[in-house]
Amino acid sequence: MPRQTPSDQGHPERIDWTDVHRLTPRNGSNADADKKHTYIDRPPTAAAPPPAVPALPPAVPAPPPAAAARLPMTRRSILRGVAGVGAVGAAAALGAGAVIRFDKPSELKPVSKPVAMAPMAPSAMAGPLVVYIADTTNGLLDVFGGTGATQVRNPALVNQLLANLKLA
Amino acid sequence: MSSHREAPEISKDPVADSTDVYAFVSPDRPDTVTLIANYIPLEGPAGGPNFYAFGDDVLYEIHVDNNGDAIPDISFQFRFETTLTDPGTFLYNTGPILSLNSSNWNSRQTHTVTLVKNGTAAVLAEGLACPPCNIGPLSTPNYASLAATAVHGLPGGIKVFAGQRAEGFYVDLGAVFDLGDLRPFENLHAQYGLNVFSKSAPGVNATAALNVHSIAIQVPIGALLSGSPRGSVTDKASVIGVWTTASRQTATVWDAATGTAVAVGPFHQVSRLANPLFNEVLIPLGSKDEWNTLPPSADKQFADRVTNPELASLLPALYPGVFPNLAKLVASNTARADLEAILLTGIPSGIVTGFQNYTGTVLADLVRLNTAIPPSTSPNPLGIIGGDLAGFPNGRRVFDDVVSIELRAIAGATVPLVDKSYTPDAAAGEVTDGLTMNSVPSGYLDVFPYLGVPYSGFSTPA
Repeated sequence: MPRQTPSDQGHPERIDWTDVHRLTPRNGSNADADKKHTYIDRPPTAAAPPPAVPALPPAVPAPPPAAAARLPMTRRSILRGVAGVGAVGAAAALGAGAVIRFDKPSELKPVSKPVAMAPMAPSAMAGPLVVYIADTTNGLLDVFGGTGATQVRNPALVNQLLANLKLA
Repeated sequence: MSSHREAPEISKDPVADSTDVYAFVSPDRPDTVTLIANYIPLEGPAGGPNFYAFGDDVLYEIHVDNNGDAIPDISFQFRFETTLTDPGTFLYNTGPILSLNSSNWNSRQTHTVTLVKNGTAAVLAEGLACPPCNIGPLSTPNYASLAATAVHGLPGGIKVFAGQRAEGFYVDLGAVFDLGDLRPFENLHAQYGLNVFSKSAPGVNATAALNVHSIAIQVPIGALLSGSPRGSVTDKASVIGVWTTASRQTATVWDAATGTAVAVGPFHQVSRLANPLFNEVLIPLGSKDEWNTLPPSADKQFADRVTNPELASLLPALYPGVFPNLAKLVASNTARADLEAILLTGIPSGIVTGFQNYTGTVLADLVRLNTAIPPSTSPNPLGIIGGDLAGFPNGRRVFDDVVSIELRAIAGATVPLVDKSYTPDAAAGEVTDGLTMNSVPSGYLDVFPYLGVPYSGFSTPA
């Protein structure tokens, strides 16, 4: 390293705080500086415990291709409608006596825990919902809505979606 | 850069890309700590008509650990909402913006601040106005005073600001990323036999005309500590660890019908930052994206990257004969306890006279601030290695010369803190990219939010 002007010479011994742009807080913005520090408490953010996990039923066979073909499937409807299909499918499965399994939240990133959040507004459940199927062989659907997620095992629905996709 | 575009995935997502974290006892309100997290790297000031803004779909957080477990005890969450005054025009503004409620301002943001403490979330304030970007003398005249009105006072003596600021971090990117060139010493660079440089040259601040978006919050010290307010310097409870994260919702679907993205599901972390250059320089390319998703409490797995940093072996290779003692140290494969203390545990008592910011044995990348150290009346941007205990790595102030500090530490200047028998190379105490805080044209503010007035698009070449 050459003998050189020490780099520190560029650093003033003392910062001249007045020799900079000044940004003055607006009047009254800090009027509460002397107040006791208090925070507003709201209910804990932890989600309600999931319902009991019933046993899985036997897989329901996929509908015949002809039935699936009646659905108006386009690429756009897949992108926009997969949540709706999932939701309808899940509801139908419930009505038919099939079972929704509430597992731990999405397994997409096992090492990354969800961020603690304020409770969701009820309107969050009005949609949109997104259903994600990472692996079509296990029948698991990750269902996302608002800031929440749940997992559903429904091989029949997955098979139905696959059949529909083949016809799209 | 400090953490600008530091990992492959986050470099594609600028609004969620954290660039710098600052934590310091406020010089003008020494009963408070100021925490700043910068996002959106390398903003060209003239980048209209859709000027820069925080992501409405991003959850920004500043975390504080006050008991040494590297798990947040207090988190401040920031969410943003963009509204259009007139969707029928393409313009950002239709006349001068003279106030934050100006009807001439078309695309504006507000933010919500939420405190998460002990697992409980509480909205501190919502609908807080952000300032516009600094466009020019016709659109944003009197910008400094306009932006000042976006400093909001919250209950409990808290101040908050979220909006555009001048980039306060200075670094010679162009040279450093050209195979580790440091212009002041480039004639000594091995140059791969090309012999491009025959003499030294001054550093060039690559961020000199660029802006960022800052989230700044100033909080009474007592509200951040686990124990009684303002203990002694030696009190472990006086030390806090600070970092920022950005998170995105798990599922994103492109709604082709509306041309917008739909994001739903739990938020998961996509960006993390505490100490400058940690992920950028220490973590290997294949692990950078993963590192960004992990909490600091998981940093133990990367400890060897800190104690045996790749850059320490590169310096003697790039500058032959300049760092002989460092070369021997690297060859001995000695774990760098000095770097572990600076970056992963804090510096214990007894190492630096009158100072400690030790948080315990948990290895975690945190900006550690001993809040009992008062602001310096004669700040030295070289911080502790410059004899100023109120500067980096005791927290980080906006003007601290973190590039020179970390270069010198990695070059071996701090080894004697833990090994008195080691003699640093003469170059270790001088190595720098040739820049100082005076390389920042905007300067800094002497009051909150301390980072300078952003450069305007009108006056800054694209």
